[in-house]
Amino acid sequence: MTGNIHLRQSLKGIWLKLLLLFSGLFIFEILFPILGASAQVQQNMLKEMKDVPPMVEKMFGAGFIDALLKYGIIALGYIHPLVLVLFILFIFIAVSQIVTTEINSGVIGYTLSKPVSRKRIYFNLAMVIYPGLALLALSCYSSSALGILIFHGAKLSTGPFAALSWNLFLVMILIAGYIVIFAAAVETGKALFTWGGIVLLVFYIISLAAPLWKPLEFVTPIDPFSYYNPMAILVGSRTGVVESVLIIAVSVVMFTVGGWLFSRRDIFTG
Amino acid sequence: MYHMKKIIETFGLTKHYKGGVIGVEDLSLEVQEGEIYGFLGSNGAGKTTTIRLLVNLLFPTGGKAEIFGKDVVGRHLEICKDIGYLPGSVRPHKNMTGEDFLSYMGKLSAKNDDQYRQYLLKKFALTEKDLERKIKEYSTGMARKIALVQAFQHKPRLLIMDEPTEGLDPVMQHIFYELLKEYRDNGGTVFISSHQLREVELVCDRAAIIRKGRLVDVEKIRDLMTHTSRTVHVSFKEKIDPTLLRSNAWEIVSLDETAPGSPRSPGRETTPTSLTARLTGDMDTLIKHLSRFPVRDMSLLNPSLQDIFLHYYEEDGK
Repeated sequence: MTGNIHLRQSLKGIWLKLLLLFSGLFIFEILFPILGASAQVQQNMLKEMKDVPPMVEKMFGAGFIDALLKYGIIALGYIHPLVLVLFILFIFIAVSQIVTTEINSGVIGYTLSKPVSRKRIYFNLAMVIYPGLALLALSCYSSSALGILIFHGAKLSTGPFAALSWNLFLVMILIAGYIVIFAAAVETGKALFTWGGIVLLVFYIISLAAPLWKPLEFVTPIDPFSYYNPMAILVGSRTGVVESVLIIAVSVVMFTVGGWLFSRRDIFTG
Repeated sequence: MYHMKKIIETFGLTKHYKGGVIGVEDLSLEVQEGEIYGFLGSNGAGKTTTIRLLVNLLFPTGGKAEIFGKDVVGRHLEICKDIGYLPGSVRPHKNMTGEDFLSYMGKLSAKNDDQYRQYLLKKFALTEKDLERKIKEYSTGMARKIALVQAFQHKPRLLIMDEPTEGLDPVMQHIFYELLKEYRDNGGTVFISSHQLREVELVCDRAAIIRKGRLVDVEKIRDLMTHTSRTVHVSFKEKIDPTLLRSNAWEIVSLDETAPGSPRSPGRETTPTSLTARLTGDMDTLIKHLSRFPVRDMSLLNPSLQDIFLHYYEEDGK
């Protein structure tokens, strides 16, 4: 029961930020179908497509050219870094709000002196992050679908965007797994943002560079961004059930490891 | 009191930090039900480490601690239902109002006694208006008062407080001491760390002294006072040869040979000789020794905890 009170308190501090990110993503994603409705933009884009070097297709995954030819600028809405940044920002905010800021400020001492276990705090974190990321993915899908229905009518299908949002959600829960493990070890939100940010940036660069440089390929299994295939999905590929279950399982394991580390760490501030 | 139930018991409790730094070493102590137990030490002595080990914020590297007969690591959640904790100088959740914070903490404790909370708020002179403000707008003293209310409000069996009067003005300190005694008289137990020696002298039944992570001594406050030498101040009606004053009963700390009308005390009446000494023998020997001299006045000062504290530290230093 006390754990639920802690969860309600955590949600109080996060819901407004989540709402802002939800709205931001919705507005951002709907811009692409709107721009796509402009014949001039589409025409200019297709003209540019002729000059796209094959290396770019390698970097952004198979189907890059086909997806652009089929969906035009709408496809870019899902490879734009801002989309990934907004999702990751939410993960950092949630982890920071529920764990690191409390440790940093020392108020965790007040919380943990009540009948609230450390594991419960981590469970609450999962209860915020998973639904939060699902909501953000839903924002992306509903925005794209709405834009397509309004501006493109029956010409384009919204189905691939559902698969794409699901893929995005899976990748983000993997990233969240990394961040919660960091959160279990660091003392401050600043350290979390710095180290977490650096690691994610490195992973992102690797995900772009690995298709071009073979020696980097061994890192791809642990690189969450390597599971993000928006262009392939737009041209018919799907994240299979087995792959989805595996990613969810790995994320749950990472959360559990984070919770395990957190329940055994010393807290010097409370 | 000593046949009462043990509320806190530590068995060789040890905490070493990275690099071999000692937090506490082989700490064994017992806190009985219904007592106010002071935990004295200078900065870095290990007081806060001990408290954090008791509330399971830190994990011991050796030994163990029990509260209510339960292991603080394994059965932390059961223990927490019955303790009130006040961290050292940590401001509560800054973005909450005082009311929200107290209500949140009350709900987490799963025990609410609104009437008692109102009583505490009144005691600490916290008004409704104060409670409507965010904690980040509070002064240090106000934030401390709110933190104190949250520790008491669910009427726990045990209070663990790390330097509780830090930031409180003298009036509020006095109110806090009254509350502690009232809480103790109602059967509560208190474990309080402090370097304010007067505070321990005023409210504690027993005190432990800790130095460099090790327990130096645990005694009743009264015993602690008698074990440490007291200070004697004697003034004589006439000048006395200092060599005659020497005795095993005391150790003379300072002599004042102010003569009548001397430049050092113009206009003063006769204080031919006075002295300050530390009582080292028994009182009877001293009185017999002094009977040889024309004594004008004599006063005996009980040691302050400051003296006791220094006494233990000096002893350890030797």
